[in-house]
Amino acid sequence: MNILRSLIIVSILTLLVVLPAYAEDDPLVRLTVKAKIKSNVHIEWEKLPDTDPRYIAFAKNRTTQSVKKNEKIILLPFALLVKLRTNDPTKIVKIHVENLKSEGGKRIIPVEKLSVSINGGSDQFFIEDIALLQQQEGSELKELALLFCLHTTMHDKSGKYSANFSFITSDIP
Amino acid sequence: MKRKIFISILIIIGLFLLEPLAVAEDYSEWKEGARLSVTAVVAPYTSVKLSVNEITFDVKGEPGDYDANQSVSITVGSNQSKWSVHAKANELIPESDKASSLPSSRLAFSINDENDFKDLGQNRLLIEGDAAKLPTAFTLNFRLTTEWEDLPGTYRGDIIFSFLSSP
Repeated sequence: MNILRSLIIVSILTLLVVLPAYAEDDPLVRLTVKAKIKSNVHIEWEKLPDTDPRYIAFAKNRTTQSVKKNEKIILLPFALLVKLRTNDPTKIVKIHVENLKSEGGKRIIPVEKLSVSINGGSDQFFIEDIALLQQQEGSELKELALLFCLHTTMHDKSGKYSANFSFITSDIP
Repeated sequence: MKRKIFISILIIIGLFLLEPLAVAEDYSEWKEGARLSVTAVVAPYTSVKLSVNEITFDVKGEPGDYDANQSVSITVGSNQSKWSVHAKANELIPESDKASSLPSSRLAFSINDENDFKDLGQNRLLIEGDAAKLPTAFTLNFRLTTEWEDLPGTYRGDIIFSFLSSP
């Protein structure tokens, strides 16, 4: 008798369990998704002539440097407005400048005599490439105003000089 | 003599017995002898097929909207009176523990090359139909939106397609 009662209870429970599954057949299908995100650096720059109001404002805000004896500081007549961003915290962005060459390339002013003021800060000399974006600074958009100064002496001949500027990126090992 | 009479009686009785069989050959007068009960159980049948098992997003440039490397064909067939297919994505988990997951809401889909992408952060209705509808293939296009905060690397997740029906 007890067995029969148990069987009836099990049958009722089975019905209760099975009926909803039947009413709402719910198979699942799975689609695997893979996303491969590569390292990316955004470098955007604009050259501002000395007539640009932004250049004038940057020049006013620039920290004035003490001038050495027999040295003359020439503020270059342009500024660079640089926007940097990366999704890779291991990336560093630097600015690299080559030696300044006169027209015809006969005379050279070493790049070590060139300095840059970033966002009005104190001058940094191009003894080595100068970092504009450090590691871990990445995802926020970083805007920098670069003003360049040439520190000349009597030994540097007058003339028109030019140099190539380039932005370089590197990984931190 | 008695024997002949006995045989004659037997023949007459035999003729009476054969008569009902002859009458029974008229089908209109057949009576039900036994009943065999037949039950056919048509089980609910559902088929949801995808043309591929995996899609890949190759994010090589700056953050933005990226389409999957291929579209996915989905074919649904069912004998249920009304049915619908829904989809929802799970977040994409990075292989590197330094990176954060990509939220499922960054995955989106469109049907049959329409440009109206809907995010898969919530359960979305893809297709609905009924038993009379023949299995038809639909094309699904998937899109991933990335941001500058997403670190380089490989992320994995999935999109779950669920089938709901009423018998």
